[in-house]
Amino acid sequence: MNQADLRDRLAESSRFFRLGMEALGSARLRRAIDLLIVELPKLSADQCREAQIQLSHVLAAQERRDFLLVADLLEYQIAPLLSSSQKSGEEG
Amino acid sequence: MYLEQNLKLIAERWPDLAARLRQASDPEQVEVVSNAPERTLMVDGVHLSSRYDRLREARIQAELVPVQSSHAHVYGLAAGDLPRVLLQRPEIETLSVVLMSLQVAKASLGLLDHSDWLNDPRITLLTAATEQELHFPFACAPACLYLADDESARLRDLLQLELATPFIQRFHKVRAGKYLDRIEENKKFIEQDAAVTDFFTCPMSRDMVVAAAGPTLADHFTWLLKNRRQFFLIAVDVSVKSLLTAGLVPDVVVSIDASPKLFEKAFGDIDMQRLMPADLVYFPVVDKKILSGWPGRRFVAYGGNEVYKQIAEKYPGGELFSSGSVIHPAVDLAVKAGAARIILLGADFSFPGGRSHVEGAGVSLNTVDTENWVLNGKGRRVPTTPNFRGYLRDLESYIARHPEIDFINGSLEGAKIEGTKSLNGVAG
Repeated sequence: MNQADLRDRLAESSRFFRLGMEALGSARLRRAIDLLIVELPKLSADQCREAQIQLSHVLAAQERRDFLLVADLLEYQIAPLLSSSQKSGEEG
Repeated sequence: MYLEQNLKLIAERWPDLAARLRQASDPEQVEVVSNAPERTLMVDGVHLSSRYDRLREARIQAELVPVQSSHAHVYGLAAGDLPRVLLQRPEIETLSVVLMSLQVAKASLGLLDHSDWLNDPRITLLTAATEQELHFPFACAPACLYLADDESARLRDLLQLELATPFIQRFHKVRAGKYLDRIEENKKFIEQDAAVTDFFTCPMSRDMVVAAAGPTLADHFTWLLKNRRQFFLIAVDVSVKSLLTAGLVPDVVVSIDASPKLFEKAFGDIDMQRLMPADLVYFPVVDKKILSGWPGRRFVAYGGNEVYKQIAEKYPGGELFSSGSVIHPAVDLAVKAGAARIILLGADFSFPGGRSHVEGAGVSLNTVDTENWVLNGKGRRVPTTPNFRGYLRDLESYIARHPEIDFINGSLEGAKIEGTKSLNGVAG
């Protein structure tokens, strides 16, 4: 598993939440969080901190059943951290 | 800001609906989200749409409607993006938009401009007052399902059940191997036991009671004891402990669950000899200990699941309706055994009094999820789980397919079951 797999899981989870398929979305999200925890040490300190903050927002939104915000956070806040991390890795 | 403009358009074609919207109260909390790339609304803590790209989100949601469709239903108004996107398709000739909450719809109509799509002659606006059944193809704005009002509760559940179907199918597919192992373990019982069809040819009684394991079952123990001989009593497995404690021995016990601890939970600390007069109707995936420990007659039955196909061909046993809850085959058994009237006791599909199961059942769910609710027989919201709601709606669909049977619901405290009459006047 790598960041590409994680991004796929985040995208799938987000898509299911937008479709109203919360059971599938939550199942994908659990898997994505497992992968994200493995990937966190590979991120920069700032990215790692930001990912943790966004993850706490995700869990809070999920708790109050605000699943479209969950989808937004996965797609527009957490996934870009991984993209930029991969870019810096490639450039470095 | 936009309310009058939007309501004027609605009033031109649906004056009654416009009047109902005008009278609707406001949600507790409505917030315009403006500190994000897209303007949207947050109602009672739930975003009606994406904050980042509303139309892209609506295009994803619209994927549930096949491209060649000439008609579709949209459930939930939200920010209006889903009808907006679907109307861009030239193939769409008519589009029915069902409001899932008048309060939420009014908030959206008040703060967002919907005139572009409301003006389209292909649109029909509806509410759950006239739309109680699900129509296909459909797409939905999920936030409106979570914010559904009481009138839309049944429709919401049907939608959520439909949207959860891919997950449920995947769940069963993953477990198919375990189910097949169980069937193999139980093969010697399946070979020697009678088929449930024996019940179908030999009617037991016109009046049957199905004892489910909801908390309100206990409310009927006195009546059941007094009238025990007048009814054929079919009990679900997890209700047996409580029934025995009350001095009630069922005529039939139905058990279908593959749960590994079911024997311990449902029968663990009871004297099984007390069940000697009771027949067991079971699905081949049940815990082997239930079959080996059963003192009386056993009858095998199959659910509609693919996993039973092979064994059912070898040992035909008859099929019972099953859609997740043991109440389903228990009711189907009563129907197929010739019941004219079925009284459902403890079929609560909810947490009346904060409990999931009847006292002494040996099974209980720890958390009461207040986010999920159904209406009870008194029209009040009672906490439930998504699973319970799914079982309830599937039972209602089953009942609708059997208008020849008189279905009676024992309690007003548990979930209202569409298609049933109240027990008032029959028992107390």
